[in-house]
Amino acid sequence: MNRAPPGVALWCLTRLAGGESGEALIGDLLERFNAGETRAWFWRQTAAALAYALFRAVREHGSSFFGALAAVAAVLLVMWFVNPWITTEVISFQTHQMLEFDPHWTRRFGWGVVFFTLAIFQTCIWFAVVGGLAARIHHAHPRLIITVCTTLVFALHVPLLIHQVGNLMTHSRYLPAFSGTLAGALLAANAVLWCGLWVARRRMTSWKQGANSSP
Amino acid sequence: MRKDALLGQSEILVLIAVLRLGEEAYGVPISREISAEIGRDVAVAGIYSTLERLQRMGLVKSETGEPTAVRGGRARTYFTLTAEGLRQLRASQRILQRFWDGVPKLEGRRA
Repeated sequence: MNRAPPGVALWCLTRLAGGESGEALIGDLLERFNAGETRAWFWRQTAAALAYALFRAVREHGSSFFGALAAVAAVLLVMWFVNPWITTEVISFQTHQMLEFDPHWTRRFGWGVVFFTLAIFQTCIWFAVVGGLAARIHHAHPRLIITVCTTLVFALHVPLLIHQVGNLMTHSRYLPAFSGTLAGALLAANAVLWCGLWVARRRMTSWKQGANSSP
Repeated sequence: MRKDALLGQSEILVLIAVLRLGEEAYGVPISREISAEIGRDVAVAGIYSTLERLQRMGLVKSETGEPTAVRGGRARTYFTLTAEGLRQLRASQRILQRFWDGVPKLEGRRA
């Protein structure tokens, strides 16, 4: 009877380790796994397959790959300066303006929610731009570049998360700050991922329509 | 096309494995054959990367088999050496053999 291979590894292989012989490679890994190889072996082979896929993408389309990464870095750099300005000068200022017209305390909580929602929304837009841009520039392997960018964006949050875990160990009052950073990291990574996949799918659909309509 | 160029180590290993296996040369036995010879597990993706390169160089050709349940409904891809592949493998063997012939015996003393 066939065993079930690690689902996440298989998902990664199916979507990211394409290439000319992607299906044959996955078939071979499943055959060896069903012949008795361990789950750890399957994961090692998946990691190697993803590394080869990344290497192939860089070798075959290096300029667009590094172009996409450079564009992503540029957007994140601009965001680093502009995002706090929009949050404090625009959203916070407008919220306080509203509070002056509407000083009733029960509604303050509501305006606070509006402020936070807008602040988070505009931050997510920045990260969505990152995903969309990466998928547009490196359209030869959109899923791979989106995965790389998603991982990078999450990795950028890791030092802060580690710092906050350290704080959390000392006192539980740091729990909200840690939760906020973790939620922010997950939101940012998801914004990159889903917007990137959406753009990649749109590009693929328009390319297919163009190919079908051509004589 | 390369004339009598020395192939890389991974290319030589894969070509010899394909040659040894004959009609049964697909990813699984090729990876097992190489692992058994070099004494450690090899990345199957690495073997496919080499096979794709060899195919582009015209040294091997592939043929798709029937899908099987044990492979999740995926077909095997069988590889065979082309005449040019066999010629280049022999040329590499000759180059390496000539080179080794010029080396004093390694056993028992420093070369």
